[in-house]
Amino acid sequence: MSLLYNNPEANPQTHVLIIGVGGYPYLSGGDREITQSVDAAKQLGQLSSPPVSAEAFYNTVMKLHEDGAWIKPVGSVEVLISPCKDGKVVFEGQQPDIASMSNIDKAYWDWKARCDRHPDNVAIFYFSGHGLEKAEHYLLAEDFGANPGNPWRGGFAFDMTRRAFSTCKASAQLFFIDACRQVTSDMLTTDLSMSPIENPNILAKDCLYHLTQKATAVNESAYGKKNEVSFYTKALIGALCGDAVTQDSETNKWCIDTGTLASKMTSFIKKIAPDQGYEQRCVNITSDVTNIIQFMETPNTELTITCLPEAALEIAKFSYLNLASEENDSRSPKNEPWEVKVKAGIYKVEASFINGQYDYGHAYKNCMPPSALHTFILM
Amino acid sequence: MKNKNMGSLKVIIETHEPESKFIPKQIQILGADLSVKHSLWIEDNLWMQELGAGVYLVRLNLASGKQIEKIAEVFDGEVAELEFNIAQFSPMESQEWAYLTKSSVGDNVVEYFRKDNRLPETIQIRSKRWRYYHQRWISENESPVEFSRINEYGQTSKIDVPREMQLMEVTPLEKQSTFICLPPENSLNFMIKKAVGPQETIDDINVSVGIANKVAQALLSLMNSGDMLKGKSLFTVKNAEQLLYNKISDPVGAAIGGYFLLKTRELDRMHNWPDNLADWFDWMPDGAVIHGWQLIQMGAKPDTIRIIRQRFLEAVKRGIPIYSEGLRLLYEGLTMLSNEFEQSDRDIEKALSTIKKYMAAADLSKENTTFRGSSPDLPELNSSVEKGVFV
Repeated sequence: MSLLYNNPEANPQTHVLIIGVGGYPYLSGGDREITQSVDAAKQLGQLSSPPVSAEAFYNTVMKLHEDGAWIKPVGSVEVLISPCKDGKVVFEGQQPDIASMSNIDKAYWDWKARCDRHPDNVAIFYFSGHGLEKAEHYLLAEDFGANPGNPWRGGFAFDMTRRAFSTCKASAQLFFIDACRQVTSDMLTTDLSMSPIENPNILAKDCLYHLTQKATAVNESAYGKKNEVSFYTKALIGALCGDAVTQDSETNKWCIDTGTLASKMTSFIKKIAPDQGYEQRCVNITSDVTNIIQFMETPNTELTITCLPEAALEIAKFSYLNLASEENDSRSPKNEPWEVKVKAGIYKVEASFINGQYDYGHAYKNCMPPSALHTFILM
Repeated sequence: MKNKNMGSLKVIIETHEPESKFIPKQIQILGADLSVKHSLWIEDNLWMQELGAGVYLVRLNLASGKQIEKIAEVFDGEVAELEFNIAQFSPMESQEWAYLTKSSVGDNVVEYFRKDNRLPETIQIRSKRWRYYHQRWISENESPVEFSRINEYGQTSKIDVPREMQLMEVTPLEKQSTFICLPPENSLNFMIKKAVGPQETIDDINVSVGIANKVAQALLSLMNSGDMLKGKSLFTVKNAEQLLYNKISDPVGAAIGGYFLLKTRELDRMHNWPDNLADWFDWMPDGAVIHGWQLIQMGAKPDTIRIIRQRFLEAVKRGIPIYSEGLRLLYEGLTMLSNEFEQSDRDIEKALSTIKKYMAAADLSKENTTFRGSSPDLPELNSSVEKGVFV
């Protein structure tokens, strides 16, 4: 059963399709490994991160739903998962169907029909797994390589499918693709026959609010650590949960909009994986911008107050005051920086020192998610 | 009469190049609850605003995505001064235009090298200019780019590009060439730098092109990064309409305005100007792409499908769209027409096959169409699978 959440209503809703492919049984290391004849199939193997990433994305969608944060409440979430052999167990107690090409095909059409029910619906598509690219970005289902003569039958042409989806009535259409975009040597010399799930036609106008985000640039890879959520999905989850929050200038509400998700994602990945050695660049296709998430309350952020030299911490008394809400607190001297969860805002932070050893007044600090650090530099 | 409890905020912006003063910069003034009190774009290095006494967060945003935030305390009857040094974002004066307007340029790496006590690495490159003449690419004899060794700081040169389809080929020693579409302009800014990062996982070079119309350039950068909200605040639909209207004097600015209006779906505001842009500048593929897509977005009908077909075929005949957005739209449009005619329209199939090759070798994260290959009509990528580790 792949429809893990289904609560259709007449009002506009958010409908989500999540696909995580880690187990590729016919490829290297798979349960039914067979000799492959095409480079693309020979060179790919099992992935431990996509099922974990897909589960983390699902949990985020549901958590935001429980918090009432989706502006268009969640109407359905369908999940297809192909776990990696010896990988982390995911979706325990639930039994999503496997991410085979036939299941992806069916889930796509069902999801599109759900999205099509209202023009103000939000459609969200998330894919994590193997990807290859030559003009088209090809996303690979778990049965990629089942037929070594034509392994491409186990995948689909994503860009054409995304374009074809434009005939759907949903005015906001978001596609998040956490997959590599590399090209193998035999792909360069072959005209690939992989088809889209749906063929685009000339009637497919763009939707009003469109965001297609790919985790990495063309001919480059998407990264992650074994059995962990990938860097991109971590950044995406962080962004949806508040890192990309801005205050809407018209309503003064704290919102996540599609434009900020697009423009800030590369910098979010950089923060998550600073030691990666290079910048994993997200690539976006966008149209006009809309808010998709709205937080009921001012978002929280981590504020750390410390001083240099750190030895002075043991005689430092810290305090903070939120200039808007007047929320305040103080801390007696301790041997460590003061880490505290506060509401976003401008803060007056103060430090005083036992015996007046250092002389320091106050400073103002802007605290926005995900975190803020203030260091008193002592002379 | 002076208002009670009012003071002023003076924002001073430091740049190296006097010319950078005209680069659009967004200033946002946020109150203590972080609600936006003022938000505007300036094309100056000085700005003043009367404000109620209090504490404000002042945010300076650039089209490159770079941002500086400072807090100002405004006292009754006094002027609070804030200085923003945006020159720090660029390693050299001559590169400021790129670092302040383009997200694809990356960060200033001077500190990175200084901290590690390393010198930037130099690589050798050669460059060659190509023009599209009677549907053939012809190389120019002399190299317009003076330098042959570049490092991570890069170098800017000024080049004159006439009103015709032109490409710059840049080839690092013993590596594949990169081709970049050049918009026509006298004194076009052109920067090449060695890309920062391990060469086994990324491209060797990073090329940027900057046009003189700084507002159109900023708009292009914002569209490219997906920050359409800022794009819309910088550039009202009316501005875009004006840019498109001014096509005779600035066809490239008109094309950028056209792409913007397509994205915001302000199709009525485009009038019949894309049609004129396509007709009057018959060397520029972008006008034909924009007109074709205006018709698609307005709802294709049997008679308009004929015009759309004609426009997309014209675009392919003219060469390669100057902007990546145009290349993507042309590829998608031809794909849709191919399906419409059930793969039986020979001209469309041929055009699609041509554009598909460019798409396969193109880096759509760049504003200007940029592709790898061995010559302008032989776009191709090298295999990259061995380069990285999959997740």
